[in-house]
Amino acid sequence: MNYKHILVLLEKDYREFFSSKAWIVAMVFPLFIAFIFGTVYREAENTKFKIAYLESEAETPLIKLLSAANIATKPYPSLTDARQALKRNDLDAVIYTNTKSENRFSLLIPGNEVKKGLLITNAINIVLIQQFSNESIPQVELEYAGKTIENRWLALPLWLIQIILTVCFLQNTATIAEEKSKKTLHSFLVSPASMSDYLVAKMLWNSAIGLASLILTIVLTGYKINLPNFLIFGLLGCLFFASLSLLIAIASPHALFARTLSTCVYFVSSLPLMAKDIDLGWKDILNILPTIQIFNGFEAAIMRNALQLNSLTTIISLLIQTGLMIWITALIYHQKKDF
Amino acid sequence: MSIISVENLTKEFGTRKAVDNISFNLAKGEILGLLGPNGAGKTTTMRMLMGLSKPSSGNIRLFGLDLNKNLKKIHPRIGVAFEKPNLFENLSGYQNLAIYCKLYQKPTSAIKPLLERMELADRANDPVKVYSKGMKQRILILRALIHEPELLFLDEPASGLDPVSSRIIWDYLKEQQQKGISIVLTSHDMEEVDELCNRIGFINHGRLIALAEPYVLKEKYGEKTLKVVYQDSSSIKEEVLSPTPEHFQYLQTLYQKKRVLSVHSQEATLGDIFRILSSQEN
Repeated sequence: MNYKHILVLLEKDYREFFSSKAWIVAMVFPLFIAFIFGTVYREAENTKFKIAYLESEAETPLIKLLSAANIATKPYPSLTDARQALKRNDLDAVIYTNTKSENRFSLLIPGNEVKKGLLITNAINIVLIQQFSNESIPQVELEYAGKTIENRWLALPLWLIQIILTVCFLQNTATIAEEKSKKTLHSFLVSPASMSDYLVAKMLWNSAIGLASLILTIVLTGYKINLPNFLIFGLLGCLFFASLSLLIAIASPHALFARTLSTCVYFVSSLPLMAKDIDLGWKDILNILPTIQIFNGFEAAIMRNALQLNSLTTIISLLIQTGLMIWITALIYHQKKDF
Repeated sequence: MSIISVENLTKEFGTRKAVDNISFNLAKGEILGLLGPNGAGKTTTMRMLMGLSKPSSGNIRLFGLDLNKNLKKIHPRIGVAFEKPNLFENLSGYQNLAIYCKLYQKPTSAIKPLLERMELADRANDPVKVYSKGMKQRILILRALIHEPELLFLDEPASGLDPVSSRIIWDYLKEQQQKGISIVLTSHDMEEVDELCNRIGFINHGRLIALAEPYVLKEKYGEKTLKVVYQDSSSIKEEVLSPTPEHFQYLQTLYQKKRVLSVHSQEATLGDIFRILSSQEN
């Protein structure tokens, strides 16, 4: 390996990145996430809904519960009065006993306020779940968030992983596959730069872009995290998925195959995150997967937990997996008879 | 010492032999053209010579070094212009060349005169994606030569270019040859091969079936013909006659009847030889 060659290749990637508008992808994610967390989720969390109920139903358990919870309720003598108030925008919704069953309620909302309706339904469901704890209903473990952060930030690690998967993995695979099909890669293979120089430069550049995108997300959302946890797991995540993209791009026979395979790997990498909070006896096995390891690191950063000594095992595991990807990529390249 | 020395080079893809037991040498300052129909094995041979494809058997020595064991020593000494214009399309012509200058640790100050020489100086800062095919091809050749290699590989250097672009490239390649650079090129353009090459290797079905100077090939495989224009009963006719006793007899008869208007001798072209050799079976 020659660091001078790597620097030239990095400069080439830098120039191509900004001239090809690829930077837009790396910028769009942080802006989108900042919008989601700063506006949409915050609104959902902070909005106080005003819900009307019928005076005759004031003693039903649900109305009592809603009145006790953080939801503004107001009695109306009849459904017709409540409907008129809803029409005048004096209310957000009207709740009343369903005529078909005493145990069911209807929520009346204006037809053009679908989003608000979903938010109110969500708020009522949360009140119900909290009151009627039932073993058969999956519980939301609110205590793991402590009282230090708002609920919305619990979803942030998922978005950060999506950035890594998109910027470092999908985009990098597509770039290398394209360089292979356009044969721009071949012009380096007949130059003094070696394949190792090329692979290292690609991995470093994409990890740098991925990490920059992660940092930008945190800056734009304005969330205070544990920086060492965030940086270490962010960097390791970027390195791992950049190395995985090298393996797929180099091993694939053509660009379309590389893109298809990387899309499959993208979904498979996201799946363990969906199974993470499901109560399965064997789910601990998921902890060996890089996506879960990176997720756990981000979660610790979101919780503002300091970097723990037991994180060392995860860090070493991620480094080994990254090294393994690079080793397999190099092996495949050297075994290849034709490039 | 030969710049290239190839012995019994063979490349197999499964049961198919793409290159079959080829041997040849290339001297310093020589231009060798590899000719042959599509799929004959020219590009596969070139790829093996560049180190991009491993031979199934045989030996390649470049600058006296075994290619397989000395890629790192050999690559800085060669230049390659691929058939596909594999430039970085979003970067300018200057930036494309600057990357390779830095990779070969050459000063970027060399770029401007080269762009001027190839009549590209005024478009140097435009992105390559807006260049014409001829301009891209000129940048490709400059990129291959930017580090002053001793050996140049060109895959169809002037394929599909207009006569002006082709002429600029050919003149530049002749200049390089005079400086002592050896060149191996593949082409389907007979005019290009005739103009540039000292020797021509004709590959068909993976085999090198002819390797000689252009005039030798013309003499060996081509035949001179006579173009005869004569007065027929009511019109003027034209015929191309091969030099056989029957045709001479026929021509003599035309002379005796005073019907011959003109006779021109015609030399076989490389195009004729290409057709003759391409039609030869294994």
